[in-house]
Amino acid sequence: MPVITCRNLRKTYTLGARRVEALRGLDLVIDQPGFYAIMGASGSGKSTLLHLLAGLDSADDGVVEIAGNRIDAMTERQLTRFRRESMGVVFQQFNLIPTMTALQNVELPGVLARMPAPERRERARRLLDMLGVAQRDDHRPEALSGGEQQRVAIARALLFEPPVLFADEPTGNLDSASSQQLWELLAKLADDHEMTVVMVTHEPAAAAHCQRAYLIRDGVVSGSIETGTMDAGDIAAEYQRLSRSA
Amino acid sequence: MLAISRLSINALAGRRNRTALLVLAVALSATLVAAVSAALASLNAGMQQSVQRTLGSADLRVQHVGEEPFDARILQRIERDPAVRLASPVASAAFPVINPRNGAEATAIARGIVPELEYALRTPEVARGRPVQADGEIVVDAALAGQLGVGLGDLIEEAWLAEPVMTVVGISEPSRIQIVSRPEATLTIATLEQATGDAGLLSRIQLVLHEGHDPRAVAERLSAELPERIVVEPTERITTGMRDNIKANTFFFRISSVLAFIAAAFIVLTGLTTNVLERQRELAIIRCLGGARLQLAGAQIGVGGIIGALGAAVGVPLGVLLAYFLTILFPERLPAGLHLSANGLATAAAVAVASGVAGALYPALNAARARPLGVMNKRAKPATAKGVALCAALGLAAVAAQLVLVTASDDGDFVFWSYAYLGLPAMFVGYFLLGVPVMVVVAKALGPLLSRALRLPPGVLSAAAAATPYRHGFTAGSLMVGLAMMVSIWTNGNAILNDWLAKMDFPEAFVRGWLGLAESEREKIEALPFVDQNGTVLITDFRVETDAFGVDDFRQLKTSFIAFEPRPFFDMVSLDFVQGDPDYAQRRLEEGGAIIVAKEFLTYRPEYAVGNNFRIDHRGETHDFEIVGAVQSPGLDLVSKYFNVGKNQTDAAIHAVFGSRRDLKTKFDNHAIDFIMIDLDDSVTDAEAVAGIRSVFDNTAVIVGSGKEIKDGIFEIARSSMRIMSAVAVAAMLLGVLGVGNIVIAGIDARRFEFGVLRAVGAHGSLLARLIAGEVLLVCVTAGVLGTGLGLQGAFAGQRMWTLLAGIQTNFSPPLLPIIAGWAILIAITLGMTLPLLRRLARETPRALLFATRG
Repeated sequence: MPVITCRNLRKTYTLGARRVEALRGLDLVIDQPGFYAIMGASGSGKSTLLHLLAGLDSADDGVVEIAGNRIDAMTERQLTRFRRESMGVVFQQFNLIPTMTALQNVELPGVLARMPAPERRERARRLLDMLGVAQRDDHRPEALSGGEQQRVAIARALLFEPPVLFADEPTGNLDSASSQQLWELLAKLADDHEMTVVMVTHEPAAAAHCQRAYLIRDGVVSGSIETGTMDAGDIAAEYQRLSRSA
Repeated sequence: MLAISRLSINALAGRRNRTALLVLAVALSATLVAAVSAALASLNAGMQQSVQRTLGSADLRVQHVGEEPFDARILQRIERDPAVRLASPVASAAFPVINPRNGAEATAIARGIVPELEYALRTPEVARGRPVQADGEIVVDAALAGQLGVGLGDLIEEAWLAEPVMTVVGISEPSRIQIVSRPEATLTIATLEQATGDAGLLSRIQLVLHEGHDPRAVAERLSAELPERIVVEPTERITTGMRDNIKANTFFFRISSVLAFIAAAFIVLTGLTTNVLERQRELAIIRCLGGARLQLAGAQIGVGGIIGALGAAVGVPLGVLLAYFLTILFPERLPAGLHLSANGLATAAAVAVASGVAGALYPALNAARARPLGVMNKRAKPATAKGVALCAALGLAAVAAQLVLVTASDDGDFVFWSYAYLGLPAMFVGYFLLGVPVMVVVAKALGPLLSRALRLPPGVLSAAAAATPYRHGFTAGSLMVGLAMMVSIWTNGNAILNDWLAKMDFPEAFVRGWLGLAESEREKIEALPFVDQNGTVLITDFRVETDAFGVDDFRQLKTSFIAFEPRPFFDMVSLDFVQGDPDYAQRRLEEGGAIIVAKEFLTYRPEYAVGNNFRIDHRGETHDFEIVGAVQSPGLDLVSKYFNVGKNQTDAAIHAVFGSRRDLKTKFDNHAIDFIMIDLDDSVTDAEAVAGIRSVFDNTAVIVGSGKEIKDGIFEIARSSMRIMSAVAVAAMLLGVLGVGNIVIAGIDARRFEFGVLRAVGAHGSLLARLIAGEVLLVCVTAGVLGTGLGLQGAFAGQRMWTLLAGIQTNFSPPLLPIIAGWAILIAITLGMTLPLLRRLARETPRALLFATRG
């Protein structure tokens, strides 16, 4: 069973008097767990695709299946629960709750799901340790570096050990060294835990850590690159070639 | 539930200062309700104490119809009655006493009792020593003890005959009910008779019946069996007046609680809505992570509930403390000390929690609407014109509804009840809603001017204020309440003083006897060189029942029948007849069966007119009088209230009818004289006249006063009441100021990054402070406009009700100075409160402001 399936996905936004067709019948299948990139120019629809896959928004038409679950057919309550327990999302701006400590931020999905406190706490500490920020668990976001905040955000996304993790330009606010570390971390998560990690990025260096990159152009998947054995330069060249030829 | 409580607690703990401000606002509301409840409970207890002192646990009271002394043999007749279990006699008289040790003299208003019978009815109250138990003992009040310079164990004597000699066995608290104090003493009847030389006379007998006897039936039977002028009255009839007073107080408490609830709920609504709007991103994150809408909404309600509960925990004890201070500051008004009502305090706590929860409902709805993709949305949505217009429409409709209710009908009952339950709350809510459009208008109109004055970049201030009209508008609403109270108090207070009280023409001097006066005492006064021949008039204030005044199902008010001698009265006082012929009126009054009324009476009851019949009920008999004139009130009823001549303090009376002493005697069988009104020669000053009259009476229990002194006294009471209520208005302003503090902090928090950028590119810290100060000033001006409007509209409603319920017509002329003072106080305390916040903002470094946005 494919991990992620999209069929004929359509989404249109209204901005003032203008209608913008962000996705125009997009099809995508990701067969097995791994680390995947979605690339495209600004306005190509890549972030829109990620929002629909993560259940943050609803499509106008089409099918979205995550681990065999039709999320387009779910009710609001079902989708909320699915988002909480079966998916993880990481954002560019980290989006930690500023009034909570790192540990409390990681525990938050468990609080919402009424997970028993000891279990919740144990999982959260383990995840922070795994991501290398255990020693900062009692700090609030304002006292953490960008890289540390993003790691805490990833730990939060992993509390329920979801099969799928979505990351929307997770290194957009990080320096190059921190970005490198984060890509390696995501790749390791995909490998070690047999997760499917889907990352939206415009950086070839990020795609170099993935096994495949899907190219989005004008609201549809215009191609893919097997990035597993390529470096950033090769990926960039291939991306340019595919963009010109479409 | 756990998730909701965790989210609630986190939301509160994360913004401690603002949480504290909201809690304080709710606490102040709870303080107000708790203080009013405790003050009213204390007031009611004072009334009950007063009635208890008079009636004890008696079922019936026996006295002369004219409240004169009667034959003590009636006691023996009553004691033989099979229904009577206990009959306790009381005799009252005044006699002069002297302290033989130092020669100090005074007049004692004495109450003679039979101790074992009296104490079976009521517990004697003695501050020091013990109650009277035998002949030759006396308990004096502290005022009398002070005058004589006596303490426990000292001896005093009757001043003229030097006997009996009485031992002071107890000292009681002085009576604080009356404005003018009355030196009281208690002793046995036998000792009193020895002191006064009057044996065999009683002033009343209190009866306790055997079980199973109906007091009303026994009263009716005994009245028929006893001599004609002796009446037997169930004490329940007397306590009805007290219960009516308590009912009125409870009603006032309910209205205050509702208004306090509305004010606090709006403050919480504004504070929490601001909170939710700022936390949209946070709420969106929680939705992303799988937080359900109900959890987010529930968290907001939880926040509101916690704020309410904390507010109650702080506010209720504060309110009790405040009421305690009131009992210390005003012991004469609250003689029973501090009393608490469990119901009242529970209401205060409930108001606090309810206002927190109610204020959180709209923010809860907003929170539940948070979408996961809101986390991506960095732009604030501007307020729509539609929303502002809706607030304007609803606000105007609510305000108009109040005006319609107050003016559409001339039925006093309808106007009273509809105003209390509908009009007043509607007006309140209406002005709160109008805060939004008024804020927009004020920002547009004054923004440019204020920007120039504060040296701000053009357009910034207006845009900032108009961008959040709801937040600023509702905050202005919470600020307006105190100013509205101030405006209303001074508008109506001045109206009453200038248009009603000031127009009364008080006669020049009065003598009032504590236990009444005699005709012979008039002769003594007329013998004085500065008193004109025939320059005295005997006056009696007698409470009767009519259906003239009061609100149905609420409180019936008795009427004063002010009895005078028509010829000397008309010679002495130039009454201003607004209807009727003075000659005809005088002639008819002398004949009997006629009255003149105050002009307000005809305004209040337009179905009456000169020439109509007016019915008075007394002791089961109905008497008809012809109304022969309507006059500008000669102020005699107010003088009566001033000296508290009203025999039964539970009977509130408003307005008087003026009739003849002949009718008083023949129809009501009352021969009492309460006052002697005196006309003075122009050659004497008020002070000389008062001293001269006082010297005539020696040791008789009288007080003497000039009309000017009494009028000044009444005015001073009215003005001090206005000052006290103004202090309450300022306290209400402080409540609103807490709401302002909340939005200032919120406004700063929301724009920290923007401020950081401004500072980074070269703006001075003082610019930021001036910007916020400008916004605060716009809120103050909005509050000023709203508060003035609300206060004037409330004052108008008040005056309308005086006209409908009491016939008092006043001019609606708002006083400029108190309104300006109110505005000035409002602006001063608001800016004063926000100054520390502005100072702190001005001193923050650019980095600190920019850094605050991380995460």
